[in-house]
Amino acid sequence: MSLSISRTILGISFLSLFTYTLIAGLSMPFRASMLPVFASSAALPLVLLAIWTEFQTHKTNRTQAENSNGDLAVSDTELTPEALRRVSYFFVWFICLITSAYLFGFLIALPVMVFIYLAVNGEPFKLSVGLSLMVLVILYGGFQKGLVLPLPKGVLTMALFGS
Amino acid sequence: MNTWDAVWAGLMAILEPSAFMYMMIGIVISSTLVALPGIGSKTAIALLLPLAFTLEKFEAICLIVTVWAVSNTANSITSILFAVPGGSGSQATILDGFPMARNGEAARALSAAFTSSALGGVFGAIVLALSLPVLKPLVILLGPPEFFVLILFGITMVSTLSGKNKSKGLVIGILGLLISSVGIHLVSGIPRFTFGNLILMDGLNLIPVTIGLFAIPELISLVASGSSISKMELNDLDSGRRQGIRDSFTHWWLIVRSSLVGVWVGMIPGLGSSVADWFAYGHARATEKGAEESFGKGDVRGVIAVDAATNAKEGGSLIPTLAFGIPGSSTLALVFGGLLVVGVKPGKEILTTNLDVTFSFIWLLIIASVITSLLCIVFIKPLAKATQVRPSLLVPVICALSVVGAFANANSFGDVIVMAIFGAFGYWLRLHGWPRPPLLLGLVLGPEAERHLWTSYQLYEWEFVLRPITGSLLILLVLILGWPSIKKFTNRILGAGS
Repeated sequence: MSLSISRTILGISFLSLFTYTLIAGLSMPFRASMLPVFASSAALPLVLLAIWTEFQTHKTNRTQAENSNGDLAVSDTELTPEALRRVSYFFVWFICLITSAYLFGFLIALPVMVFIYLAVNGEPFKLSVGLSLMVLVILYGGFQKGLVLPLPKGVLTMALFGS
Repeated sequence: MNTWDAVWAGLMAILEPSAFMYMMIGIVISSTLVALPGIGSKTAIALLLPLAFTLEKFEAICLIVTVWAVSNTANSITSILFAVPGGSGSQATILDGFPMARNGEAARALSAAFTSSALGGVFGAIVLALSLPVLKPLVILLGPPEFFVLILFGITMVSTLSGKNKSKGLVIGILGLLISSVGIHLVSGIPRFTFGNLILMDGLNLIPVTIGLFAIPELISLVASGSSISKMELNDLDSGRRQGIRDSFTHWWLIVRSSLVGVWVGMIPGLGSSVADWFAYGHARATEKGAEESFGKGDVRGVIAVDAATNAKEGGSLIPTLAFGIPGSSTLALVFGGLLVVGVKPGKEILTTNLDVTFSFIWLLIIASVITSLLCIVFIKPLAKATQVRPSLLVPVICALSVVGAFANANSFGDVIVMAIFGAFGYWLRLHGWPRPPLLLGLVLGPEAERHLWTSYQLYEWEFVLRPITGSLLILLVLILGWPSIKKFTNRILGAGS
C-alpha cells in the first residue's frame, strides 16, 4: 500500500471515528455525553482542516521530516523498500509473539520467540540462547516470583497439560 | 504541615533506605536505557510503571520521578560522541560537543555536559521551591471552570507545539480525551464506546496505551534503521574529565543564565522538551564574548549552556504540573499518570496537605541530578559502549518485556492486545507525521477535564466561560491558535496599504 493511500485512509478513519463518537455521544444521557460531544464537535472541523493542510503541504512535495519536528520525523532511510520489508517481518514476528504468548503462556512463548528473532537475524547461537535464558530468568524470577505476578500459562498449554 | 516541616519530611522520605535504593535503581536504569539506541525516557518510564505500582508511595515516587528527572543527563553521550541526539532535548549539544570530540576533547565535553547538567538540575529545583509560596495562593484562588480551561490550554499548547501542522496535534489531543472516556461512566453507570466488550468496560489503561504508542513505534524505527547508533571507536574518554568540571564552574554565570532560560521555557506546557536547548544555545551565542567566531567549532560554553538548560527545564516544567495538574510534556504526562495511580494527585492537595510530597520531588531533582552526573563522569566508557548495542539484540528483549509490562498492569491479556493495537496505531501516526504526545496528555487529563467541566456546568451553567480568568484564558487560547492567521491577515492589509 502506498504512503498516500495509507495517509488518506488515516484521515478518513479519523473523520469516521469522530462522526461516530458525536452521534453516539448525542444518544447518551446528558452528563455522560458532555465530554464525548464536546470533544467530537471540536475534532470534526479540525480533522477536515488537518486533511486539507496535509493535502496542501503534500502538493509542495515536502518530505515527512520537513512536515514534522525532529522528535516525530520518520527519516528517509526508514522508508526504503528494504526498511519497509524489515518492518513487515517485524510485524509478522510481533503477531506471532502475542499469539504464542496467548497459546503457550509467557514463560514458554516469550523466550522462544526471542530466540527465534535472534537466530533469524543471524546473531551467534550462544548469545541467542543466553539472551533467551535471560528473558526467562527475568520473567520467572523477577515477575512471577519477585512481583508475584500470575503470568498466563497459555490456553493450549492448559488444555494439554492442565494447570 | 508548615513549609519547613514539609521540607524536612520530603528529604527524610526519600532518604529512607528502600526509597533511596529505588532512586538509585531509577538512576542506573534511566541512564542506561537512555544511552541505548532508540530507547527514550518515555519508553524507560513506560516499562518501569508496572513495577512502580507494586511499591510504597515514596518508593514509587523515587523510581518514577528519578527516571524522568535524570534522563537528560546521559542523553548527551550520543550527541557528543556520535552527533546523534539522544533525545529531543539534546540536539543543540551536537553543535559544539561533536566538534570537541573530533578535536580529541570528548572526555572534557562529556564531563562539562554532566557537571552543567547537575548544576542546571539543582538550579531548576531551587526555582521550583522558591515559586511554591507564590503558587499556593494562586491555586487556591482557582475553581473548576479555570482548571477546565487550563487543561484545555495545556492540551492545546502541547498539541500545537508537537508538529508543524497544528490541527493534527489538536485532533490527536482530542482523540486522547475521547479515549479517556471509554468504559463505564462512573457517575451515570452508562457504558461509553465499549461495544459490549468486557476488556473495554474498565476503560483503556495508561500503561498498555503508552507502551504501545511510544515503545513499539521506536522499536519499529530501530528495526527499520537496521543499525546501531555508532560503529565508531570510543577513544579519548580517559583524559580531560577534570578540565570539563573546571570549565563548568569557571562559567558559572553562563550556567545561571542558561538555567533561567531552561526554567522559563519549561514552564510553558509543550514548549520545553524540544526547544530549551536551542533557546539556551542561542542565548549563549548572542551574549558570550567571542561566541560568534568560536561557537560551532568546539567551544565548551556551547555544551555547558545547553546541558544546564535542558536539566533546569525539568524544575520549570514541574511548576504547572504540580500547581495546575497540567504536565509540561508528554514524558511528564506519563510521570503524572504514574503518580495518580500511586495516589499522588497534583493540584491543590499536593501544595497544601501533601506538601512533603512536593518537596520530595524537589529533593529528588537535586540529589538524583548530582548523583547521576557523578556516576556518568565515572562510568563514561561503559555508558558510551551501550550506544553500540545492535538493534537486533535490543528489539526482541524489549518487546518481550513490553508484553509483560502491559500484562502486569491489570493481570489481563486484554491489555496486551490493547498494547499491540496502539503499537500499530502509533507507528501509523508516526509514519504520516501525526504527533503522538498529545494523545497521552488527553488520555491522562481526560477524567479531570470531564470532572471540572461537569462541576463548572453545575455551578454556573454555560456561563462559566464568562468568568474573568476563564474568559481571559479562552481568549488567550484563541489568540494562540489563530495567531498565524491573524499575522498573515495583518501583513496582507499592511502590504496592500503600503
